[in-house]
Amino acid sequence: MIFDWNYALGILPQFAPALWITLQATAAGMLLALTLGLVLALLRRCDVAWVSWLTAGVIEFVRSTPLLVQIYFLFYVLPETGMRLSAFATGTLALGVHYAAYCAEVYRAGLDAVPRGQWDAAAALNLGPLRTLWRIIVPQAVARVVPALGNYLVAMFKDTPLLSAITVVELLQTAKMIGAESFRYVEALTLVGVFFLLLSLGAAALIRVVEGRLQVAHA
Amino acid sequence: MPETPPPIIRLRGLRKSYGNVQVLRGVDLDVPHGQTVSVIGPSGSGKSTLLRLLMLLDAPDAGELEIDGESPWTAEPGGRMRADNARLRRVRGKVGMVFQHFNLFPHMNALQNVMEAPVSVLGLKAGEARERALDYLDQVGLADKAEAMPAQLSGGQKQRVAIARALALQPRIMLFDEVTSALDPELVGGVLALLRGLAQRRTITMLIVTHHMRFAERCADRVLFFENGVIAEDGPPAELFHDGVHERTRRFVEAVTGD
Ligand SMILES: Nc1ncnc2c1ncn2[C@@H]1O[C@H](COP(=O)(O)OP(=O)(O)OP(=O)(O)O)[C@@H](O)[C@H]1O
Ligand SMILES: [Mg+2]
Repeated sequence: MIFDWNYALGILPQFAPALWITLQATAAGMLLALTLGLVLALLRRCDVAWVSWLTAGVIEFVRSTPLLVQIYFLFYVLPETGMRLSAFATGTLALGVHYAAYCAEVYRAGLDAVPRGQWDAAAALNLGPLRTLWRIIVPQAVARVVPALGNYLVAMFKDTPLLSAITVVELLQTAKMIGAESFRYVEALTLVGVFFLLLSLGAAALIRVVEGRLQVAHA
Repeated sequence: MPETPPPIIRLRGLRKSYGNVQVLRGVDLDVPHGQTVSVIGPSGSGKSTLLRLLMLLDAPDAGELEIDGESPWTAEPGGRMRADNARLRRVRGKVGMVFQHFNLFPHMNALQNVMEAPVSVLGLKAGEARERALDYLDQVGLADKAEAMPAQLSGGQKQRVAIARALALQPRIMLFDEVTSALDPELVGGVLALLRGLAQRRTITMLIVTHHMRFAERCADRVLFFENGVIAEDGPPAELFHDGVHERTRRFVEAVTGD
C-alpha cells in the first residue's frame, strides 16, 4: 500500500468540521479544567477538615479512574438523572472534570510554593481572605505552574479521540468514516497524526510565549 | 492631677510558644501614643514574635493584648485564643508592619503594591488611591520608581516601598522588623533618616526592632532590651546605654558593637 498524496489532499477538506470540534472540545474542556481545578485546589486547603478531605477524595477518585470509563458513565448515566446534554457537551464535561483533578494537584503545588511572607503581608495590610487569594496568592501560584498546566492542555488535546466512543465526530472518527467508505485508511489516519503533531507543537509554542510573558511581568 | 491617656499598646503576661519552644514568657508593656520605641536583644529572644502578635498575625497562647483600648482575642473555655473577626480587622487597621524581608508583592509594581490596600480595604477610588500612593512614594523618595517591579529595585528601595505601603493605610502604630539588617551599609543612613522624620511627627507610635545601636540610641524615646522572651530592661536610651544600673543591656551593646 502506497501513500497517495493526491488522495490525501483530496480528503483534507473533510477534516475541517472535525478539527473545529476537536479544538472546541479542547478549549472548553481546558477552561473547565483550569477553573474547576483551581476551585478544587482551594477547597483542598480549606480550614474546615471535612471539606478538605472530601475534596481530596473526589480528586483522588477522578484521577484513579480511566477517562474513557468516565466518558461512558456520564454519557449513559446523566440522561437518567434528567440532564439532557449533547454528546459533545457530555464529552467536554468529562474531559474538563478529569483534567480538573490533575490541574488541582498542579495548583496545589503552586499555592504551597507561595512564601508565607506573602500571606503575612496581605494580612498586615488588612486584605480580606478572598481578596488575598484573588489578588496576591493565586496570581503568584498560577505564574509558577503555567508550564505544568500547559502539559495537561496538550495531554487533554491528545485525549479528544476518546470522545469518538460516544458518537462525537472528531478527527479520529472522521478518519474511520473516510476509511470505511473508501477502504483506504493510511492517508486518513496519517493526516490525523499530522494534525495532532502540528497542533501539539503549536500549543507547546503558545505555552512558552505565555510563560515568557509571565516571567517578564515578574522580572 | 493631669489625666494620662490610656496607652495605645497594653500587654499583660503575654505568652507564645511555637511547638515546645517558649518564645514569649510573659511580656508586660505599656506604650503611650506617639512614642518611638526601639527593641533590641539577642537573636531568638522573641522580638519578631512580639511584632507578629502586635500585628495580629499570630494568636497569643495566654495573656492580654490591647491595642487602642480593644482586645481582639478572647480565651475560649478550652484555653485557646479566638478572634472576633470584625474586631480583628478593625484593630489590624490601626497597625502597619514593615517586614524584615519586605514581602513586597512580586507581581505588582511599586505603585500597585502601595495602592492595593487603599483600594480594597479603605475602598478608595482608583484615582484617589493612586494619588495617595504616589504621595507616599514621594515621601520615601521613590516617586520616579512608581512603575518599577520589585525585582528591579535595590534592597533599600524595596524597603522604602514597603514603608510607603504600610503608611498608605495611615496606621496609628507602625512596626518595623530589622529595618536595617537586610540593607547594605550605605543604604542604612537613608532609611534611618526616613524613620527619624516619622518619629519627629509624633502622630504615630513606632516599635522598631533593630540591631543598629546608634539608631536605637539616637532616635528612640525608649529602648526595650529583650532576653529569653521577656523584657529584661526598659528605659530611655541614655539610661539603658550609659548608666551603671542596666548592666545586661550595656554588656549586650558592647558585645554587638564590639566597643
Ligand atoms: N513559626 C515558627 N515556628 C517555630 N518556631 C518559631 C517560629 N517563629 C519563631 N520561632 C522560634 O522562636 C524563637 C524566637 O524567634 P523570633 O524570630 O521571635 O526571635 P528574634 O528575637 O526576632 O530573633 P532575630 O534577632 O534572630 O530575628 C526562635 O527560636 C525561633 O526559632
Ligand atoms: Mg527577628
